[in-house]
Amino acid sequence: MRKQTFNTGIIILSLFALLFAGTSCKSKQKLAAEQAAIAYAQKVDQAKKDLLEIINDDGSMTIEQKENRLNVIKGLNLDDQEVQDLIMRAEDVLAKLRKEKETKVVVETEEQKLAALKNAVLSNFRSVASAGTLTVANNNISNALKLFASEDIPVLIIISQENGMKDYDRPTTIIKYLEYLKDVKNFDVEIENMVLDNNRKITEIELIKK
Amino acid sequence: MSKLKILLFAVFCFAFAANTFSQNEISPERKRAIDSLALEKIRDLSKYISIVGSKETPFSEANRVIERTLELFADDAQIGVSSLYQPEIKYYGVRSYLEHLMALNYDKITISWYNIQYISDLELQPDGRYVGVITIYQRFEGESSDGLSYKDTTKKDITVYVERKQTQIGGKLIGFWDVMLGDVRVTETVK
Amino acid sequence: MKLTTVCFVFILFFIPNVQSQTIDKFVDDESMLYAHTKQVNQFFRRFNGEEDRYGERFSINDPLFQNGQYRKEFINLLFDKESTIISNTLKVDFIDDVSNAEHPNFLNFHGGKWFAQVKTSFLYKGSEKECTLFLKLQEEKVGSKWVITNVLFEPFTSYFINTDSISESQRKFLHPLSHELDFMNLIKVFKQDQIIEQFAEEGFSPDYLSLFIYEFRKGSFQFKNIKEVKFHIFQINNWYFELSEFNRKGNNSGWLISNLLKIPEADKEILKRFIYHN
Repeated sequence: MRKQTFNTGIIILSLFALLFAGTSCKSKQKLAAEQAAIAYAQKVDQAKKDLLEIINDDGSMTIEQKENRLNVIKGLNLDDQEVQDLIMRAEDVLAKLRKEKETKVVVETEEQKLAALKNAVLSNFRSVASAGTLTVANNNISNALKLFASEDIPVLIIISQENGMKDYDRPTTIIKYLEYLKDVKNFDVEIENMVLDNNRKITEIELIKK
Repeated sequence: MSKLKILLFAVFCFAFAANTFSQNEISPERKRAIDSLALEKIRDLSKYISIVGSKETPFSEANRVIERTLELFADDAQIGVSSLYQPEIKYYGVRSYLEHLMALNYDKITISWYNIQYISDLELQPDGRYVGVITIYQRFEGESSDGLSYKDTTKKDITVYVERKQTQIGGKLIGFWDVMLGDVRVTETVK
Repeated sequence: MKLTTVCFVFILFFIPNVQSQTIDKFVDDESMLYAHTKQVNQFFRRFNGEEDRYGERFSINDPLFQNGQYRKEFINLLFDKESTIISNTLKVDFIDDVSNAEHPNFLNFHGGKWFAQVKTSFLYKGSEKECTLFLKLQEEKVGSKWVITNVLFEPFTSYFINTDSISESQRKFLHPLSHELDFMNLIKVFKQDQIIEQFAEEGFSPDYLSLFIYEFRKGSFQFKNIKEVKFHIFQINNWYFELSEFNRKGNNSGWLISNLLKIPEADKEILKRFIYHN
């Protein structure tokens, strides 16, 4: 009887074990799923955080760094509406930054070109004023004129500025101004402003007394 | 009615703005700028005189510079010259003065400036222009090919007319000071 | 304080200008040229103590601007030192008066009470004659201008006789009932060589400017030249002075006081008339 009881116990135990064993397999799957969900949620969180960083960055990252991070996030293919929205926002931000950068490059180049032109004008003016002979002076005038749209473009010379109001000398033309430099052999002005045409020839020049 | 008021107000403002300049004194800063502009014109004149008087200057170039010199002067400007030996003032038109100078044909003309000039107050004249006189002293040395040289020191009292003008350039309204030289009194100083 | 100012003014006129840079060999000349009173405008500024020794205007906040002591020393240098007609005591008296701390006297370009006397030469009916023009600065609605006030021309003045010089017994007149005879006695007035001024009203004074304009229009005058310019200044209370231009070596040159008179305001008109008709 005792042995029977023992057997019954073993059976129950086995059944129980069996039963128990069956239950354990099912919970492992769940665990894995749960873990995956957690990891995904973490990825989403991280992605959101990264995206917000990209969106709100005030210049600590380069555009390239931002692009790389955005590409990584996009590669995750996260199926999260908020992430998708943030990706769109980040792309907008990047597009804007790229455009700004391009414009800046253009502006810098334009400024550099203008500065180079100013220097060329100034050096031409100086060479006319300092020419040793009449022939040299006349050649220098011809060279200088190549930078201008015509011989008659206006030359304005600021003699003083008061309360934002500019006072000028009597306006002259570039040919007369160059001949003036040749005659007086003195050059003492800076370029305040220049207006160029589509061919990058000067159509108006504003000088200021040093 | 209100439109009329606005129009009247605008006309008043314009009239006032137009009058402000002629009635008000020129500020010291502006006066300084005008003075130095006028002095510069006088320095230009002396450079032009050297060019016109020099034998090295080709005829066409001298004529171009004469035209440029005339642009510095008011139309009826005259140069009145007297010397120690000829106290009577000799009157020249600017062109004839320059042509006379060109005919002298010095090999070399040197005009030296004394570091001294006197600039009068700018006075308003009835036509609304300002007039001033700038006094300078210059030493003239002319050397001719035969080695003879002529030297003198002269006091030059130069009339300067200053007028505020406006012109449109590139669609912008430009306010400028038109500085014109007027009569010049040349007196030889006692050595 | 006085000694310092004296030294300053001495340096101002007699020590070669250390700022001269232009032409080394002319430096001596240059300091001399600084000393010259180069324009009438400069005479006014110097008289008023409104500019420094280089001719730069003082700001009105400058302690030397119109400073009495500074003016006292400066005005002393504005006199023609070679003149013998101005006594030293009169000069000192004048300087003390105009630079007086309580009631200083200044010159004002637009203040009136001064005029120019310009000696000119004209061809008059074919022969060269001297003619003196008097001009004053007239204020206009906008700005100002010099205008001719009078002319002094010997061929004109010699034709007029001061009737005061005719004795009472010699004087001719139109009797008070001449009108009853249709002024037939005018024939005697206009007899040749008759001094017709004596038939003119009391206070009659010939208007030489009108005569001059008339003769000029008729073509009798042809301008030749300017010979001399001087100014008569009546702006200072109880004083008159004359301003003339000197062109000579040394520091005492340019526009300088060439005559000085202490004269009560009431007598200034007499003096003016004397200058006009002299």
